[in-house]
Amino acid sequence: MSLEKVITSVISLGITLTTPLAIAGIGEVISERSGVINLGIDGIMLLGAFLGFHASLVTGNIYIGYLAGLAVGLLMGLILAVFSVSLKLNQAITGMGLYFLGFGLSDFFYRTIYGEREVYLSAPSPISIPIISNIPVVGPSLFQQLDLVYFSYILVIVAWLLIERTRIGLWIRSVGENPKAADAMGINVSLIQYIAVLTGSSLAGLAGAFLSIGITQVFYENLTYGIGFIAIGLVYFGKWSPLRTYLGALIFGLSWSTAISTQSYFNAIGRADLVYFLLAIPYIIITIALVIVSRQARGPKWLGKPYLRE
Amino acid sequence: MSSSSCDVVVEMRNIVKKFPGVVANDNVSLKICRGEVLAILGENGAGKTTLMNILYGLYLPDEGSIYINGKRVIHASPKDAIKNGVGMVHQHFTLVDDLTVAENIVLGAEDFKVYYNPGKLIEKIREFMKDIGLYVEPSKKAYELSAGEKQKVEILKALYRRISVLILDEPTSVLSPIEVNELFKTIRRLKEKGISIVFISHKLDEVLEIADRIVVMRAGKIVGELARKDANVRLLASMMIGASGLSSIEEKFEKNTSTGRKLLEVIDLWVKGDRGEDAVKGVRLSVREGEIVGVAGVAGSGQKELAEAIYGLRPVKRGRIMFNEVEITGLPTVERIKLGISYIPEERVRYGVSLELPIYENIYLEKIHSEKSKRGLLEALGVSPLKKRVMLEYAQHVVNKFGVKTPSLTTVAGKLSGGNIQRLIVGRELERGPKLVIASEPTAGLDIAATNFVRRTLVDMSRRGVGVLLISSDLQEVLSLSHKVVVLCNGEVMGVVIPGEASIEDIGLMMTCSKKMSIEEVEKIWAM
Repeated sequence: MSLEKVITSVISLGITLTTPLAIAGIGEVISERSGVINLGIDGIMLLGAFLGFHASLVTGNIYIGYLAGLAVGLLMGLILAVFSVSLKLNQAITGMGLYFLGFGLSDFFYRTIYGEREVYLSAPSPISIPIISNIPVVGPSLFQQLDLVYFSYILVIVAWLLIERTRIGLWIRSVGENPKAADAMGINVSLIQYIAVLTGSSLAGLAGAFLSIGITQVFYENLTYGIGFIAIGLVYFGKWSPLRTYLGALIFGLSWSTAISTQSYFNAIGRADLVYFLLAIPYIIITIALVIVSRQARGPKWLGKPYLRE
Repeated sequence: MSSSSCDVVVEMRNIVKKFPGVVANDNVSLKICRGEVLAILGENGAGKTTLMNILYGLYLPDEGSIYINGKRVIHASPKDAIKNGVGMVHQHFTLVDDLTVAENIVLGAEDFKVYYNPGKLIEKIREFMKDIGLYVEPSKKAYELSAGEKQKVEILKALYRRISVLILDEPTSVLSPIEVNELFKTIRRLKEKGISIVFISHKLDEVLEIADRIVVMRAGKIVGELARKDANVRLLASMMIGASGLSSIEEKFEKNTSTGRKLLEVIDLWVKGDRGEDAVKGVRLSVREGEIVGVAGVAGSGQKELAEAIYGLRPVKRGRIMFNEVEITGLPTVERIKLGISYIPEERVRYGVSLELPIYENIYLEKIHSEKSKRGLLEALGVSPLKKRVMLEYAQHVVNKFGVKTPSLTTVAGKLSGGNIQRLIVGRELERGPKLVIASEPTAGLDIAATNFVRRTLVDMSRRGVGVLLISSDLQEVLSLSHKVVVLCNGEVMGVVIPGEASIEDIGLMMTCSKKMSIEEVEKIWAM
C-alpha cells in the first residue's frame, strides 16, 4: 500500500471516529453555555446507540435509526431538565444518575431482545461530494464520508452561529453567565435552559446512534467506552466554543485511528499484547491535552449552579 | 418646588409593606414630579429601598396603590414597571460579564428575532448613546468596565427601554469621587430631557448637591419633605436620625500619638491582577505599631490586589513583605493569621463570611488557627475536635461586644443585613487580638451609626498598639483617621502625605496620576 493510501485511510477513519465525539461535544457546549452540565451524555449515547441500532435493524432504514437516537436523547434530556432545571437538584448527581440509567437500560434492552446473538447491520455507504472528493488525500478522507460526518461539519458552523449570532444564543449565554441579570431583563431562564439542555441531549442521542449504525454496525455492552465523558472533557478543552471542541474531537479521532491502523502491524510481529496499550493512547493524549489547556479554561459563570429566584 | 404644584408622574398612596418582624413601609405616600431629582434620604433600614422596590415591581405592597400619569397600575414584576416607564438601577449591578456593553443594553428588549450582527448592533448602540449623551464603549465586554462605567450601562439599559422615571439606589456607594461627579453630570443631563430621577441615599452632602426636593424617611415613615433651598446638613441629619441621635453624627476621632517600631514593611511589591496585568507596581509602604496608614485612590487602582498580597491570598510577582522584621512573602495565609494579621475584605459577602454557615461558626472560623490544643496527634492530623460550647461562648462574646443584631447564634450568616455582617467580620477580625489589621473599605454601605462604630474601633485598636492599613475610596475617612496616607494611581504610589499638611487638590491630582511626588519627598515622610 502506498504511503498516500495509508495516510488517507488513517485520516478518513479518524474523521469518522471524530464525528460522534464532535456531535455529542457540541451538544454539551450548547447545554453548558446555558449553565447546565449534562454528565449523563455517555448514558444517553449508549441508549441512543442501542435504539438507533434496533430501529434501523427492524425498519431497514438508518434514518429511522438516527431519528430514534434523537428522540431518546430528547427524552433523557427532559429527565435531566426536570430534575436539574425545574427541581433545582444537584446537576452532577442528576447527570450521573442519567448515565447509569442509560448504561443499564441499553444493556437490559439489548439482552432482552437479542440475548447472546450477535447481529450486524449492513454498513452504510459513504457519499462522495463531486469534484472536491477527487483532491488527493483531502478529498477521499474528508469528502467521501458518511452522511452524519457532513452533518457534523455543518453543525460546527450552525452551533457557532446559534450561540454567537442569534437572539436565542444571546439569551443562552446570558442565562449561563448571570441568570439573575437575564431574569431581571425579562428572559425566562428555565425555558432557555430547557431548550439548551434538550438540544444538547438530542445531539448526544444522535451521536450514539451514529456510533452503532455508522461505525460498529453492532451493539454490545458499554459500546461507547466512555467517549461521552471524553466529550465533556472536550468542552473544557474547547473553551465552550463549537469549533475548538471539534478540533479536540479531531485530535482524539486521529490518534484513535492511528492506533487502530497500526494494530495489524503489532499483530504481525507477534506482540498482540501491545495492542491494548495502543488503544489506550488516544485516551492518554486527550487527558494530557485536557490538563494543559483546561488550566485557564473559564466557563460560563453559573455553570452547574441551579438558579433560585429570591 | 413642591409636589403640590408640579406635573405628577408617579403617585404612591398609603403604601404598607411588612416583613417578618418589621414594618418596612408604614403608610407611606409619595409623589414624583416630571423632570425633577427627588432624593429619598434615610439611614440603612429606613425603608427607602423597599418603597422603591415596590414601585419597580420587585415587591407587591400589602396595602396601598400606585398611580402613573393618573392611572392606577399594579406592578407585579419589573417587566410591568418598565412597561409603565419606571426603571431602577440597584447597588449590585446585574450585567452579564461575558457579553458586550451593546449586548447587555439590548438584552431582553432586542429588535431582532433571530439573527443579529454584533458589529452592526455595536454601531447602533453607539448612535443611541450619542443621542442620549452618555457614552461607554459599546464593544467592550462588561467585565472590562469600572464600577462607574457599569453603572452607566445600567442607566443606559433603562433608558433604552424608554423609561421616564429612573430610580438610583445608593448610586454613589460604589463610585470614586471623580465618578460621582460624572454621575451627577449624567443626572442633570437626564433631568433636562424631562426624565425624573429618584436618588436614594444616606449621604447628606450628595443629596444637598443634586436633589431638587428631599424626602426624609425614618423607621418606615416619611418624616419630612423639603425643597433643597430650605435644607441644610444639620436639619436633614436631625430628621434622618431623630433628635436624640444627633450627637452621633460628625464624630471626631483623636489620633493615637505614640507609634512604635516598624510592624509591616512592603518593599518594591509587584502583584498581578485577575487578568494578568500588573495591578500593583513597585509599591513601598510601612506600618508602625499603633499607626494607621491609609491607602487612597480611585477604585481599582490596585488596592484590592495590594491587600490580598499582604494577607497571602494573591501571589507576589516581585518584591518582599516583612512582618516584624521577618520575611513573610511566601507564607500561606494560615501562617500570617497565626502571626497576628487580620483582614477585613472589601467584598464582605463574597470573601468575608460563609453565608450558609451559622454565625457562631463564622465567628470561630479563624480563631481555630490560633488555638493551642493538648491533643497533639489529632491536631497534627488537622482533625482536632471543636467544642461547641466554647465556640458558642466566644461567639456570644463577640456578638455582644460588637453589637451584631441577630435572632440567635445559630442563625445562618446569610440572613443578616449588610451592616450586621460587617459588624460580625469586624468583631471576628479584631477580637482575636491581631497585631496588624488590613481593613478594605470597612465602612462602605454602612449607615452613620455603624460607620462611626467601625471607625472608633479601628482608632481604639491603634491606641492599643495595633497597626492598621486602612484602604478606602472614601477620601474623608482616610484623611480623618490616618497618620500617613499613601496615594495610589494605576497600581503605583504617587505620593505619601500627612493628613492636614497636603491640600485636597494635590491629593486629587495624585489620585488621577496627574502629579507624582519625588522619591526624596516620599522617603522623608516615611522617615517621620
